Amino acid sequence: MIDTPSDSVVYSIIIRNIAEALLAPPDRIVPSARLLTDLNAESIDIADIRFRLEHELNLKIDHKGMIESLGTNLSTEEFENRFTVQFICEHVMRKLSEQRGTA
Amino acid sequence: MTAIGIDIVSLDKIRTLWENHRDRLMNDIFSERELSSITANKDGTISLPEHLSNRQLRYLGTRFAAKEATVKALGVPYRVAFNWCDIEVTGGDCVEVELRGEPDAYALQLGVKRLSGSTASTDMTCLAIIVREI
Repeated sequence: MIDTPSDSVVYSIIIRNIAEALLAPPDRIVPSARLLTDLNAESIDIADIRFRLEHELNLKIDHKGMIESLGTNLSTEEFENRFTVQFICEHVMRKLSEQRGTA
Repeated sequence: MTAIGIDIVSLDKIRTLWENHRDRLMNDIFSERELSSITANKDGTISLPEHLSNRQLRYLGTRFAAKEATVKALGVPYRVAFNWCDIEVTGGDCVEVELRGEPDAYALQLGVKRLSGSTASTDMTCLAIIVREI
């Protein structure tokens, strides 16, 4: 969960980049917001968000790994419900933690 | 038996993606073969021009739309995790799709014989339709 100062900074970066990629007001980028259904993100927007976060946070977020971490054999509805801003935050935090662990 | 996938991509979004992240597009979204008409130099080296012409952007946009349309034609957008480069699009206005990795394994399970289709674009949008033949 997002509970340390450094995590808060990362959280702010994620929110800002999602908002910029989707041309959406930052106050709409709440943890529970579903990217595909609530924020109308398309596949190309998801790629844009990944690349923006990779650049700003200096990490690698591969598409396949991100989708896999949501779970396997999901229905479209299950996927859409799990693919939230909170999920992106947790996934990025996990990737950063892994990167720090191997540094 | 056939199934169809269709997708539309905004040319502005393709332009933004290229101008901001072109170094990441190769081997993440597009294969070297898909980008070769844009990036390959005569001496065999590869370069990533900062700006592309509308024609080049439309080419890229229709590739991306064809990839997304392929995912839809396979009928399982989120059941199979994949890398975009596992779906390679060849051709011009008439396209063929070659699969690798998980999408290829899944298509084999379905008995897919061929994935092909066509693309179209304007200065605003790129469209692709892919037909799955079994």
